[in-house]
Amino acid sequence: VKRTTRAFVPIAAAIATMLAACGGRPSPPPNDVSAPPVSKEPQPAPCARGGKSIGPEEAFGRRIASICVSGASPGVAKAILKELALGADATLTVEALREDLGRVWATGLVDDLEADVSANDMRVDLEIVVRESPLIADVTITGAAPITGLSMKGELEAAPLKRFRVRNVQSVISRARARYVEMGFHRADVKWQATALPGNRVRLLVTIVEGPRSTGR
Amino acid sequence: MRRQLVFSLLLIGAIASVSPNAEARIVDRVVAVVADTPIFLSDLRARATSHLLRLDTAAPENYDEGMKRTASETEMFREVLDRLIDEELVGQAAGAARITVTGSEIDEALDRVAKQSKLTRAELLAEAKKQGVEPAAYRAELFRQILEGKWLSLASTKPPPGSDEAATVRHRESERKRLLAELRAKVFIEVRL
Repeated sequence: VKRTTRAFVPIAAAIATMLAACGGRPSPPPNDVSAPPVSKEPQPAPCARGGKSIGPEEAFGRRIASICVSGASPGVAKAILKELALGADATLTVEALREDLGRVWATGLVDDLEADVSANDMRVDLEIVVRESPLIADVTITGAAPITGLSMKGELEAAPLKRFRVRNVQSVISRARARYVEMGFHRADVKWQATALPGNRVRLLVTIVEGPRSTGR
Repeated sequence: MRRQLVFSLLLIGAIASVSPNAEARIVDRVVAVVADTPIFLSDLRARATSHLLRLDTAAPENYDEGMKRTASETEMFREVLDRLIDEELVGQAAGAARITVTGSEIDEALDRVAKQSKLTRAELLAEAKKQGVEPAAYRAELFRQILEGKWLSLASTKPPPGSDEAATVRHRESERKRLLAELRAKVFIEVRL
């Protein structure tokens, strides 16, 4: 179990944490994933907030004055807003917000999110703060890969919207290992590593060592 | 000790939703990820409600110092989150094994617990509500317990022949720990407290 200090750490550091958690290998210098990438892409403007601080116990039950998304590119912010059942004039409830956040998570577009509120007269302004999942820039497969290489690359690149999610990568790698075992390569080793690139992107490198093939008698 | 206290205050601060921004306050966020499934702060708060009530109703001498209570809450939130993570792991493993729990199985369990407590089903649910557990939450808890029981029966080894009841219970608990440790080792888990 990995314990991180707080959400919204730089994405490269988050990837390093995830890799350490799932057995992936960190990238070698100078592309060490612990170095946060510097994004040159324009960042979305933060939500305008002028309201007073309000605690959760006061916020729930009030009507929503406005909803905005921060931390996402305009396209992703728009997609997130589409997922929300809550809207202006709706009553903010724990259950409705939880359902909306669950739907946003399920899109695969974000790998962290939180909901913030501030008072706006008798209503509340709701801000959905997200960290976008990195985009898979490219996938390179090295080592002998006559059995799984091609389809694995396709599967990795076909991850929902080409977004990097550890679970997606792990499941593809697990399937590849299983295929090797089925083909008699019982010692096959399939490893992966991710390198953070500027602009919230990652490069995936999959290394396959097939090992000897067992022959049945 | 001092370091532990600072950490406790930080953790309580996070759970109490104190945003670094003075104007906006966090009302919900991801506190853990199990495989690709998020656990939200609202999930943690909902499950911790009855535990908080227990802290409130505990003997005053146990919590007459604020710091003691803070430490108790911190520990309690951590335990509840660990429990939520285990439940998610068991839920995923049970789903993969196509284990299901029906409404009538929950009803039967409810009646069994009521009978043991010499109460009717309605009285039992009313008593649970007094302790901060709504009927739906109580049924959900029974669902999780039955699911875990079925999964354990399927996945665990049998106790050694001739084991008495106490030995069987110990074996079951040891198997539960072993199987959960196996699940935790296989699955990507991140705690974001």
